[in-house]
Amino acid sequence: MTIAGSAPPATNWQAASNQAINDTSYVKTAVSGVYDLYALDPILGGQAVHGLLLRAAMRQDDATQQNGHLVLKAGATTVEGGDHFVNQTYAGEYDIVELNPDTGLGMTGTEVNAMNAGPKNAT
Amino acid sequence: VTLLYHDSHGYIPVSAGAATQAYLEAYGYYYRRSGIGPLTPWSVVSPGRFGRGRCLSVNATPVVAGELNEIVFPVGAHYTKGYFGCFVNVGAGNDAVILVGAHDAVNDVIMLSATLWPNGVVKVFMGEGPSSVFLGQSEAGVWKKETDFFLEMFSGLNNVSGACEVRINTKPVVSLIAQDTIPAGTAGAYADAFVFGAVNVVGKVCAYKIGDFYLNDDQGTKNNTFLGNVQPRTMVMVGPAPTPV
Repeated sequence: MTIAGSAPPATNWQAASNQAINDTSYVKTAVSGVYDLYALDPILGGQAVHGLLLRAAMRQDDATQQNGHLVLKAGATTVEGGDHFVNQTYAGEYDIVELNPDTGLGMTGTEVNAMNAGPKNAT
Repeated sequence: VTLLYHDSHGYIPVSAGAATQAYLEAYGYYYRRSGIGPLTPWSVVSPGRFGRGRCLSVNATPVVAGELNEIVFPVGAHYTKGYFGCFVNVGAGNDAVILVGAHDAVNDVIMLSATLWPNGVVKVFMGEGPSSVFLGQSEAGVWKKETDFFLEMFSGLNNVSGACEVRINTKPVVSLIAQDTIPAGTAGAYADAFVFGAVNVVGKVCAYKIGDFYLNDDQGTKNNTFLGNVQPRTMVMVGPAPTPV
């Protein structure tokens, strides 16, 4: 994906880390299949994790319906959630993951710390 | 999937009012019975439960019915049995009734609600709090003002075999079985949202903090019961993935 916005920072992960959810900074792509992956703040301990909620605010910039996915990379396995047909205004989309996609078992905090996540154009 | 939603509120803006509302609405929360007047009382505080993260904070005295009344989050899934949990801290000056419950978004009806009364009692109603059908209550003093506690609620929706259990810090304080838990006029409806807020608010002080939500249904083999003292956490991105795409 490419960096965009009225005052974007220099890297994709920083551009996507826009807490205000507006066009000041964001990442974008018009190409289906393109996605970003970001490293997560490793704040968890080794305890069992009940579930992981991936969340992003997404929008499209014209009237053509776009479909966004949320991508999760765990170990050598990359998976993506369901279709999120976005609007022209930002809306929060989320997917729930209860099992580690790489093992098929429950997750630990240590495993989650090492996962990567990001948005995808799945139109 | 049985875990329907969880949110630590760890990423909401550290500001009051409109920014918080915009954030909540962007992520699918909506204000029920809006007529929203005093937005500025909405703010976030840090830390939240366990001294980590943020939560929502309300401190206002609404003068018009509907102000700051209830906030609903649709989970996009119908359930007839679900488990909702959240951290709550009721402020010293609060004299409103704090409500959490299961909500039918299609009919915009609160199906079953657990309410916190100023004397430390939990009361359960079919419908929206005190104006609806009383089902049962706890002993006095099961929760305290100015004390963090984790409230969990099981909602089982049925006209005959409905059930509800409310737990405070994992201890059951209200357990009801064989109840009618579907309000009249909503037969066949499901819960598909959770709701929190305050009732009996006009002219009264609403002062509470709430956050760290989770919501499950009872389907599948994982996360289909009370989760107990869980701690939702927000993990933000801190860099590119090690292997660039």
